[in-house]
Amino acid sequence: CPRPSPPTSPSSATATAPPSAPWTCAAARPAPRIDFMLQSSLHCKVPNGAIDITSLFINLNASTDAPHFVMEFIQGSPTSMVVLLDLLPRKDLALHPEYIEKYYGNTEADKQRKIIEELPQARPYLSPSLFVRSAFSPTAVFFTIDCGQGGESVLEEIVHGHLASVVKGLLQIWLGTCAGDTSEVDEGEREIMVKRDRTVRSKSIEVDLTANLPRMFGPDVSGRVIAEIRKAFGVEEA
Amino acid sequence: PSRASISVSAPARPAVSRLPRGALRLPRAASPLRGKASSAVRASAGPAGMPSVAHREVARAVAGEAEARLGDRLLPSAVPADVAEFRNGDGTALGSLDVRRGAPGSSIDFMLQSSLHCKVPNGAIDITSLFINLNASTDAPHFVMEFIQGSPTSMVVLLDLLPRKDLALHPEYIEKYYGNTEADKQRKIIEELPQARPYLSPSLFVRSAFSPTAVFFTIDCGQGGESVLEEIVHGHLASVVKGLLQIWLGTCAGDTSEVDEGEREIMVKRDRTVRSKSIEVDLTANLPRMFGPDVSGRVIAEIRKAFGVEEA
Repeated sequence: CPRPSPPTSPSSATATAPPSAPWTCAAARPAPRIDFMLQSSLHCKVPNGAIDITSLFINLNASTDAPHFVMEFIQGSPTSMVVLLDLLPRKDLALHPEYIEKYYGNTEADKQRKIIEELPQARPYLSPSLFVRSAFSPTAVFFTIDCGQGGESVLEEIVHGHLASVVKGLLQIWLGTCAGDTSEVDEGEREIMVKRDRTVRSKSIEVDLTANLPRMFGPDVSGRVIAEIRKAFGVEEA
Repeated sequence: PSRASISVSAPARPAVSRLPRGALRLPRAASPLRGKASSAVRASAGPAGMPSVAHREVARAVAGEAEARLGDRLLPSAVPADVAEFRNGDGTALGSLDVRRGAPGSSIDFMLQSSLHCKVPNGAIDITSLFINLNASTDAPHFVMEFIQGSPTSMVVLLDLLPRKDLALHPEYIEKYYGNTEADKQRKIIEELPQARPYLSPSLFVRSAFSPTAVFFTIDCGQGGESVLEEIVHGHLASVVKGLLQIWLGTCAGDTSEVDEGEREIMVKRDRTVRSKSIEVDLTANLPRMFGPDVSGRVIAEIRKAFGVEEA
């Protein structure tokens, strides 16, 4: 299974070819429920420093309704960053309380969220996009971690300590409960779910990338990068 | 009268921490007068003999405004006397409930107001709610307001235009009712108060049911902050509640857009799920503790009736 080398230039994004997940390369056996895994890194110099954005998305396909894994770190200065970490729901939660129980209640995902919430340097981050706020789960870890002036090493400690631990914790929950989920998806539900996945993906690309990338990379480069992501997401431009 | 009066005080303590969980439906009302009660009389008499609390006055004013604007789209109240006002055995817990159904042909399903006052060892809990639910002829959001005050210096505020559709599947719904209405500006007014911090319900279901602009905060004025809280309640909070009610009256209560047949079925199911779950998470967990099984049974039954989710 070919795996592109990690990005060496600031303007490249890496997309792993579906359906193989890196850890199954040796066995050469496809992971049937994974749609794709996308990793990306951005580094952009700005007048007073730099912006660094790192993302990891592992999306499941239509054979399961289990949540996607979503992780994004947006660091605007050496002392503060925005953390976004979630098991992204695939169903209308208010209509499906059993889905909340299965993937968020029983998994104790909220305990992970609380670890970050309880950090004195953390405060809840509310996206300016109402759509983004609506798409995330009730246990989403969505915080600004701000260590204040001179707090560079404090932030680093938090990142290597609490944050790393919570990310790993949520990944374990996801691998255990979502990636391996074998329950059947009802035919009528599947249609709605597929439509929902597409809507969330297009909207995210619109709210996030098409708004920001051209600013950082100019129209040509960002056009290429966004097209690749649209391809991975299955939401090619009309 | 309930014989649970002695047990009310003790378990009422854990009930304090449990109460904000559901925060959607609790039986209380603003006034012992039903039907065409004048807001003047209502404002001067505490419902069911409850002591006056600033947030209850604000709630009464808002309810009065809503009733005035909705006019004959609401039928007079039909709540039985023993539910309109209720209490436990020794009067340490008082409650009132008013439900007005929507008139035939209107988009209003019902308007529910309630007040609850419960003495606890170190003071009292006061909870006041106003819910205006729309029926299946429209998919516009419901109006939801609840104040839960556990001490003279702190309270939980819950205020929302409760969505009726899967928002992630319907971005245009978000735009119409939350984006274009600038509902988020109202939320920010409370968010920016130094005494406010976001309140996250212990119930994951409740967190999921609310909108992206829901005003869900604890306002904590600290020791000695009684008058500060009162100022905030009569000032910023009253202003935000009125602001959101105006948005709701203008954009939701009067919405005349058609509901697609296939969508309606899902919406009705969703409304029922949200209502049953709220009753389960909130009332059936807490009311018996405060009022004993008989009284709370009667009150919950009346609410189930209003919500159209009678027990099987």
